[in-house]
Amino acid sequence: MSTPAAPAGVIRGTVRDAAGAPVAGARVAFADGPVPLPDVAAVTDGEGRFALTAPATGTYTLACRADGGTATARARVSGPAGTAAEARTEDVRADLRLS
Amino acid sequence: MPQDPHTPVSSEPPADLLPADGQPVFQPPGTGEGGEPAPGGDAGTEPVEGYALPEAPEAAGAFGGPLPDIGEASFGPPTGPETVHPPDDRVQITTTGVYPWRVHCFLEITAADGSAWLGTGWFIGPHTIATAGHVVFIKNSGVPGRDGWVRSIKVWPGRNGGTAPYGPVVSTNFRSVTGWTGSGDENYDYGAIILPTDLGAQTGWFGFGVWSDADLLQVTGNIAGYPADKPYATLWYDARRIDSVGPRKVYYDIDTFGGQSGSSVYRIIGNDRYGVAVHAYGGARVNSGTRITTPVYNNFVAWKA
Repeated sequence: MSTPAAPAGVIRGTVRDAAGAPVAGARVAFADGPVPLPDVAAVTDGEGRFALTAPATGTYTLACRADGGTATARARVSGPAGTAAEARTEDVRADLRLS
Repeated sequence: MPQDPHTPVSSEPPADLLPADGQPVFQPPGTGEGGEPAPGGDAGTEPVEGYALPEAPEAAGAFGGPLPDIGEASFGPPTGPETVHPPDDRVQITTTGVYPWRVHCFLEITAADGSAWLGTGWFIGPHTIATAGHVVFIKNSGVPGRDGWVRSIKVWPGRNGGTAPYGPVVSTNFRSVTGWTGSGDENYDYGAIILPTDLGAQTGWFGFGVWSDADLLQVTGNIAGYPADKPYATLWYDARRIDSVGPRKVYYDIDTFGGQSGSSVYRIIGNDRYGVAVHAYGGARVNSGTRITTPVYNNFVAWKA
């Protein structure tokens, strides 16, 4: 099974603590998805941001863990808009709040 | 050049993936500095206090119980959710400074775009760590500047939270194969990290080998790695009987999570540990890894030289 040249989507988000401040160094990974997914984990940058590749359309569950707690979020990737020739990867937003 | 769709194919297994005589081929492990490791348990698992291999469901005959969809034959077990399949019976390993646990490496990865990632690897020689291809080379991410060889990987053998018995060592020297770097084909999702030091001479390494389908289906698969849903940089272990095998993949219901890509899927024979696959993907009913076939074996042998 080959990875499609362009994934269906990229799920971008920010991890924040209970007070709403961005959390650097939080770990974010897929806990659920429509296809088998690489078992890596992203680490948020200094502004709490991450971007995970969604290879196929469908619903994904993201799980996050940081020193300040855990969080989960769901994101629906509908797929690239436009014809196949002009298809672009869909950007999907999924923010996480630690509790 | 596109392949002619009328190219003939055969029901015979792909040639040269397994030894022609059916006999296993393997490289031996090395235990590094210190004493001998504990032997494996009767069930082929590690002798970890508090861990017991779950009882297998009642065996059904070829047509005596619930059967998988025929689609599994072509596409593998069901795709999709959950790399941790209840019950979650992973156990934490805290004695990470001793063999075999110190063979497993916590990986802090910096991708080409500067983004940070976590993975796992395992020593196969004094300066070579086996891992998933997508740990060392990112393919088709959809994020500008991210694809390609990662910038660097910081390697922490046997790390246990804030305790680091070895390293870290930073590497910028990686290996993979064109089936992954060119095609992004999960059947070829494996690679290696070459260290600038021989740290593996201290930690030891696992052997690895090529075994037949029938042999692998009788084996308990063991995985230890660094899942991101647990406290940072802690090592967790689980084991199960191998579920199924494909020509280039091994499937198992061993619980894993993001951060464990690149872990060894290994068997235990006496005191010796041998990798049979490289863990890479989480799936719906089972997780999967890249099988160590003859070409993978040959590359690992070359990369550990």
